[in-house]
Amino acid sequence: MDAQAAEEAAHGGATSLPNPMHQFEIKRLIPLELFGFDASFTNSALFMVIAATLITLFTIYAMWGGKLVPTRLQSVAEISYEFIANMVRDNVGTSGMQYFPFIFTLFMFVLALNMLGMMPYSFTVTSHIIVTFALAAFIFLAVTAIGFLKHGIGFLKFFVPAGVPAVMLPLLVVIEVISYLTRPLSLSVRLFANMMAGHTMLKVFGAFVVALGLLGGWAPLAFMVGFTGLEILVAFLQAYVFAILTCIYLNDALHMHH
Amino acid sequence: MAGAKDGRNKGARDDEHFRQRLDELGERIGKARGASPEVTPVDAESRGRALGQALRLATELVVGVGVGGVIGWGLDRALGTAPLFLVVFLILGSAAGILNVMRTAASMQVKGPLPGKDLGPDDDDD
Repeated sequence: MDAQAAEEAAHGGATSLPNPMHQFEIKRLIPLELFGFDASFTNSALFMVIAATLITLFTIYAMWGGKLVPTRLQSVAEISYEFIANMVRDNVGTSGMQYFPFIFTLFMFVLALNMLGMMPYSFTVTSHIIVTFALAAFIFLAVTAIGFLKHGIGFLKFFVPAGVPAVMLPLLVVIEVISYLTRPLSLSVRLFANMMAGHTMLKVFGAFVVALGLLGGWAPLAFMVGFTGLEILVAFLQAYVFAILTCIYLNDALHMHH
Repeated sequence: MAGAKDGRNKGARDDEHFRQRLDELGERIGKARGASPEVTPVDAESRGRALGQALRLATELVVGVGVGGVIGWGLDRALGTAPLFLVVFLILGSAAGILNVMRTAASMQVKGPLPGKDLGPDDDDD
């Protein structure tokens, strides 16, 4: 299939509905190959750069001059700081505050990516499982490393449930280890599945509006309005869940209790 | 309004009339509000949270089985014992998934009453 035919198929001919998965396509903006790997600058990378730039500009601009009575923008920055600071303090304790910068960055990054994805014609980076899995795998490895650094080999006791007869132990330890290994996967699948399902739904119902036209298009349009609101809630909620689960995993590694 | 032009007395009377109509309207609005059950924003929010929790529990269960299956498949490939470890680890993975679901559900219930108890722990009735 040549490029034009592919484009036509993606946007739908006269009869077929547009492909709802077309929005997740990775496009190479600046082709680049490093050491035999495809390291092209893609639309996904572009939106990560935009998100990082927006967060940096927002926090620096909002806190510029740092007034005692905050301006509107400054109070937004302060509220997001307080929000994450309280989350870390409640879930990890004051000893966890040294990891606050990481949790804050993580939350703002995921939130910015989710929210940028809500804009028409934009690309939702978090709807690709490899992105969320890379984030989750990094968190998982870092948290495990912190656990071993903090408790030494004693961190392995984390996998031994208390008050269990010795006969059952081998079985339960294996189950505990598998349960621990599911963490990065469930963390990444949750974010990716929520974002991808929501955006696919939006596209499908958007196509219904166009296909049904002026006569019947109003019902899916009304649904779209409500669903877009829900999607914005989901975008925030998933960033929040991602950050709070990171806190919980960090707490397990630091204080070693379930 | 016509009354406003024609001097004080008429204006006052119109005011009274106007207030009466306003009261009537208020009553009718009150009745209409009482008749239709309102969907409060809190309700929608808690429904959204419940949906999020349900999805979370579902992923925990599925991911447990998936991770168990992948470990078993990898061991089988490395040791050439197919399908022994795949079967064993699928079962262990399911157990891990259920364990995860139990833990997640327990953490969700911290604020609510204990399961199987209608009364809070403070209520003492014997």
